[in-house]
Amino acid sequence: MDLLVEPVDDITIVVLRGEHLDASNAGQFASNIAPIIEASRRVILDMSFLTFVDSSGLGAILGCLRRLGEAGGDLKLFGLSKSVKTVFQITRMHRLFDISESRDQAVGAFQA
Amino acid sequence: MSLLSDTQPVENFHPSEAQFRSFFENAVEGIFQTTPEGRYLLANPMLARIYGYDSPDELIVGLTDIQGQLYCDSTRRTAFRNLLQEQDAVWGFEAEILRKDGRPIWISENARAIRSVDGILLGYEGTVVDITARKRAEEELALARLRESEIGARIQKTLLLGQPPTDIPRISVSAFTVPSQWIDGDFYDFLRHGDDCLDVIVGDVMGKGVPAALVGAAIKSRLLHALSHLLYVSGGDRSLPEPEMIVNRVHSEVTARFIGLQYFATLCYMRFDLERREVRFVDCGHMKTLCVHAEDGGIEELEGDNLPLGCCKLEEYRQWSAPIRSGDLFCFYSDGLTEAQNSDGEPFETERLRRLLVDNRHADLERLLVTIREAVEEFAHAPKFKDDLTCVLLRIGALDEA
Repeated sequence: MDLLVEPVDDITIVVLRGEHLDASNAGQFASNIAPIIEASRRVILDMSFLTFVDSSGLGAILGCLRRLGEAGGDLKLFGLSKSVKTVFQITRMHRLFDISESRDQAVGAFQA
Repeated sequence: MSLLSDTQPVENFHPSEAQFRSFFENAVEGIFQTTPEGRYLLANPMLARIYGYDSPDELIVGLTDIQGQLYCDSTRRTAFRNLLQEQDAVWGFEAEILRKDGRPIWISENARAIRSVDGILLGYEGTVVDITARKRAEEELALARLRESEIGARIQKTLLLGQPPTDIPRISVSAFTVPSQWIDGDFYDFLRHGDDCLDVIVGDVMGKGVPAALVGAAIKSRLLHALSHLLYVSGGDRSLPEPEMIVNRVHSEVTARFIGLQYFATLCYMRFDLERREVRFVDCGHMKTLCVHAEDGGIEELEGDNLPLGCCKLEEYRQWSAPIRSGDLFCFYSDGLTEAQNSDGEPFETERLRRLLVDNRHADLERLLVTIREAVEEFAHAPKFKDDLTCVLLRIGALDEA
């Protein structure tokens, strides 16, 4: 899973450049995003390329939220496809995450 | 022999032909030069030794068709040549070859294509090492892993997975689970409390394989611990603790540890209480349980609103209830079933499952289970799935008129 990092002021937007986040690449995603999360407290994940997320993928995103939370930071998500959103809803994980409809909304949520 | 004399500065070092020859003759790797067609132009003593010839000369004379004589699988030579057509060099190209005495060994080659200034291929040159010992070790390790997985799968099937009860007068149960790897991260269990009460537990641990199965086994053991503890503290009346008490007790014990291990599990704990004619359940982020009414084929989705176990320490698990009627058909499943994909990447989806349940709601339970399994296998064109897949069916028998 390639990650594209775009800083906007003190916010780091990470674009997940892959269609799947599942058992096959969740571990690699977790290690690739670890240094980004170390370096920033306000992180937004752009998930618009993703069409499929499984429980391992959810676990990896949950890991990001926890690490940022422990460091006093926060994580926001946007660009969730219908099927990816469904996975969050079925597991009720949507309650744990701040999910925005657009990039601007996610950035705005940090600046509010 | 010292390559450099004490008085010769390094920058002025120009190896003599004798030094090159010594390097070539004594190298611990096989060194070769061949024509594109597969004849040897040059071979050093180590290459002759690896291939089982007495001398480089014997090798050059005796081994004249690399593709036909050397490689066990002649297509490896084609692959080697194709790679060197696309790129100038290959590293770690592995192949099984036949020594002169017919004994197969594994080699790894680093090689480059030799080309004229016009780019015409003149031949190949490179080095060869014998990696047979490493390959055998890898094969043995893979075999040992496979055996361990087979044993693990058998242990899980016979000891760790709950067996659907067969002798409850007014409840029949049938279940299957298919691991995507040998070992299953989905699990179910059945706790019977007399003839009128049965707890059904269906869970799905994040991830797959042995770690997920161990987490599943730990959750089941914790559920039993919690039940036993709560029965004990209930004192004299020995009343059965409610599902939400059991789940909250497990949550308070394991969630912090799960967070440390970075694991979570979805779970549905549902109690079928025939005396009160209702189900009471806690839904920890699991797939909605479906309930089909026998008479009119109406379908209800039973769901709660809690997070999976192991997500959040502050979560409080709540219990929900729904009435049950004679003939009701309940279906528990994991997302591996509804997310099973066909060749176009489309998921099986809950809608297909709902239709199967409604259309076959009067069918024999075992038969219906086979129908569902076959439908998913046919849809996904494979007996193997990307995710662990579970389905538990339960039917309520005739309840007395109230």
